[in-house]
Amino acid sequence: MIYVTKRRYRNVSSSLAAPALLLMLYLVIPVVYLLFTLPWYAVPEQLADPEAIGALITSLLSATLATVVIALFGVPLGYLLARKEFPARGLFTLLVYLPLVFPPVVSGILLLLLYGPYGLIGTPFASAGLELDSSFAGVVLAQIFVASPFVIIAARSAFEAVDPALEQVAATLGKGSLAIFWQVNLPVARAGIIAGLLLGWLRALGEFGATVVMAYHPYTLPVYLYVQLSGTGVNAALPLVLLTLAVSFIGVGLVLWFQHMGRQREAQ
Amino acid sequence: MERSKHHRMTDRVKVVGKEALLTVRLKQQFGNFRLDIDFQVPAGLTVLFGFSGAGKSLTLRSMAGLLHPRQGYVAIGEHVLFDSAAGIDLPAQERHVGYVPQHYALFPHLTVAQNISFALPKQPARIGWHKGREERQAQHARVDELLAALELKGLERQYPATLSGGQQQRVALARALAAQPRLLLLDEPFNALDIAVRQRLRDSLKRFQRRFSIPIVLVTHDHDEAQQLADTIVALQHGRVAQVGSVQDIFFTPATPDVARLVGQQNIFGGYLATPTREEYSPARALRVEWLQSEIQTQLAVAQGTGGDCYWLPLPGDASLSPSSLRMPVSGCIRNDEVLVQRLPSNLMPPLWTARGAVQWIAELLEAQTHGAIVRLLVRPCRGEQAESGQNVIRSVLELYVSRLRWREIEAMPGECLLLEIGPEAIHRFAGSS
Repeated sequence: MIYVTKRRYRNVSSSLAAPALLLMLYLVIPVVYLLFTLPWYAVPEQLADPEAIGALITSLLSATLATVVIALFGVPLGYLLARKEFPARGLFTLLVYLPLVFPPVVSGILLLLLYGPYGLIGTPFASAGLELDSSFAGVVLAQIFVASPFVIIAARSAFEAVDPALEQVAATLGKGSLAIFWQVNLPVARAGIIAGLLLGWLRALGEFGATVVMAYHPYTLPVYLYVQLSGTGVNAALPLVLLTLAVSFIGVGLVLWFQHMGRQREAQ
Repeated sequence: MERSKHHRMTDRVKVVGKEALLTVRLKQQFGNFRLDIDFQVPAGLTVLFGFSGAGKSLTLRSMAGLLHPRQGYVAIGEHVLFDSAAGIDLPAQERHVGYVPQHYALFPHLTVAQNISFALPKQPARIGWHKGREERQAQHARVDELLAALELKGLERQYPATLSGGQQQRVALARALAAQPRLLLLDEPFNALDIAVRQRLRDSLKRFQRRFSIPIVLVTHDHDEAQQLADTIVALQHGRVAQVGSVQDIFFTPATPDVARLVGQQNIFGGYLATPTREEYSPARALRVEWLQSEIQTQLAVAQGTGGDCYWLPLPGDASLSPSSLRMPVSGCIRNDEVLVQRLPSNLMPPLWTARGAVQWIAELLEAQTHGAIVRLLVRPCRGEQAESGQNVIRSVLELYVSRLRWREIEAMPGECLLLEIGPEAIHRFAGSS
C-alpha cells in the first residue's frame, strides 16, 4: 500500500531530472573531452606563437574598446527606454533587439555596405586614408554592432527595476534630475549594468560572423582560430580553444555574480 | 486681495499658532477621477483621512511637487509653493517639503549615515580645504545629531536592507529632516510595519513631531491611526474634502453620511420631524425614521433599496434642531457606542419612551463578535411600525458596540431579543442635512 502511494505521488523533480541531466551532459561533455584529448605538451609552445598572441591582444583590445563605446552610448539609451515616454519608444525597443537575432554574417554585410570602401560613410574615410573595413576600426565597429543589444537591454531592465519613489524622494531632497541619475539611478542599477557590460564584452570577444565579413584582418582570436582550423586542422586550434574557454568561464561567472547582486538589491 | 488676506493670517500664525498654516487648493482631472481639494489647517499633525481611492496620495504628491495639477494654490505660511493664477509652480527641489513614501524609499546602495547626508550639500573639493574641513565637520555633526535624535546610533554603517521596518521609518524621517523642510509629508507610514508595533511607533512619531515642532501631513485610511495622531483631520471622499476638524469633530459629529461611514458609524437614518402618538412619556416632537440603513445590510444581504420599517427616535441631544418645523427632513446616524443594550425583561413589555426621553427598541441579536475589549453586535429592530406608504417591511440592521464587561452581564445568544435604549445623546444629525 505504502509502495503504491510512493509511486503515485513521486516527486516531480525526479521525473524532470532525466531530461535535464541529459542536456547538461550534452553541454558539458565536449569541454571535458577536450581536457582529455588536448596535447598538453604543445600548449605552451602554441600559445607562445606571436600570431596567436597578436590575435589575442587584438581581441582583448577591440572587445574592451567596443564595450567602452557601448557603455557610453548604450547606458543612456537603456535609461531613456526604461524611464522616458517618447514617440516610437516601442519601435526603438524593437530595433535594439534586431542585431541580436540577425545572423552575424548579415550584420557584417550591412556594415560592410555602409562602412566599406564604396559605402556612404566608408568612402570619405577611405579617401582620407582611414579604412573602416579590414582594420582594427572595422573589428571594433562590428563588435559594437553585435554586442550593443546585450548592454542596452540589460541597462534598460536594470533601470526599470529602480523604484521611482527613490527618484521622487531625491527630488524632494533638492536634487536635480542629472544629480538623481548619477547618485540614485546609476548606482542602484549598477550591478545589472555591469552584468550587461560583461556579457557585451564576452559577446564582442567571441564575435566571428560580422568580423570576418567586415575585417578579416587584423586577426581576432575567433578569426585566427578559424584560420588555424581550416589551414592546419583541429589539433592546431585546440590550445586557443582552451584559452577562449577559460576566459569565457571566468566572464560568465562574473556576469552571474553581478546579476545576483542586482537581484539582491531589487529584493530590498 | 486674497493673497494679502492670507499674509495677514500668516502673521498671526506666529502669535497664536492655531491659525491656518497650510493652505491647499487643487483641481485636476486624472482620467476618470476628479480631484477638487480645498482645505486650510493649522500647524501640527494633519491627517488626510479617507478610503482608498479618495485622492489622499494624489493630494500629498501634488503638495510635494511630484504632480502638477492644472489649477490650485498651495502655501505653507507665507511661502507660496504653487499658485496657478500667478503662474507659480515651484519644482519639488525648491519646495523644501519632505516626502516619505509608503515603503520609505531608502537608497539601497547607501548606508544609514549616507542616506541621511544625501540631502546635505556636497562637500567642496580640495580648494580651500580648511573651509572644506569645517563644513565637513559641520555635516558630520548634523548627521550625528539626527542619528541621535531618531535613536539610530550604532546603525550608521548599516544598509537599509538590514534594518527593521521601524528603523527604516526613522532613517526616512531623519533623511527628510536633514534637508530642513518646512513641512513633512508621510504617505501611509505605518502600512509597511507589523500591526503589533504600529501603536508604539505612532506614539514615537507623535513625540518626534512635538520635538521638532515640524508640521506633518500624514495620509491614512486607518481609524486608530487617525485618532491616535491627528491634531486636525481632513476627511476626503471621492476627491473632495468632506469635512475638516479635530478628532472629536470627525469621529463624534461627522458632517455627512460619507464621513460617518468613513469613521465607522454605519447606522445611518433618514426621516422627518413629527409628533409621536401620545403614549406615556412621549415627547412633543421626535424623529420619525423612514429608512435606516447601513453597510452591514448589504453585507448580510438582508435589505436592498430604502424601504423599511418606521421607527421613532428622540431629537438629537445637541439641540441642533428646533422642534418647530414639522415634517422637516432630517438625516443622521445612531452612534454605535452610545446605545444602552439590555436584556429584554421577560415579564412586562417596556414602554416605548422612557422618562428621560429615550426610546426603547426591541431588537433581535444576529451576531456578537468579540474584538479585544469590545463586542460588536449586529441587531435587527423588531418593534417598528409599518411605513406610511404601506410597503412591506425590509428590516434594518444596526451595528452596536458594547464593552466586553457589559456583554458578560447580558450574554444573549443569536436569535434572542434585546432591549435597546436610545437616548438623545446617541443621535447625531448630519450638519449637511437640512
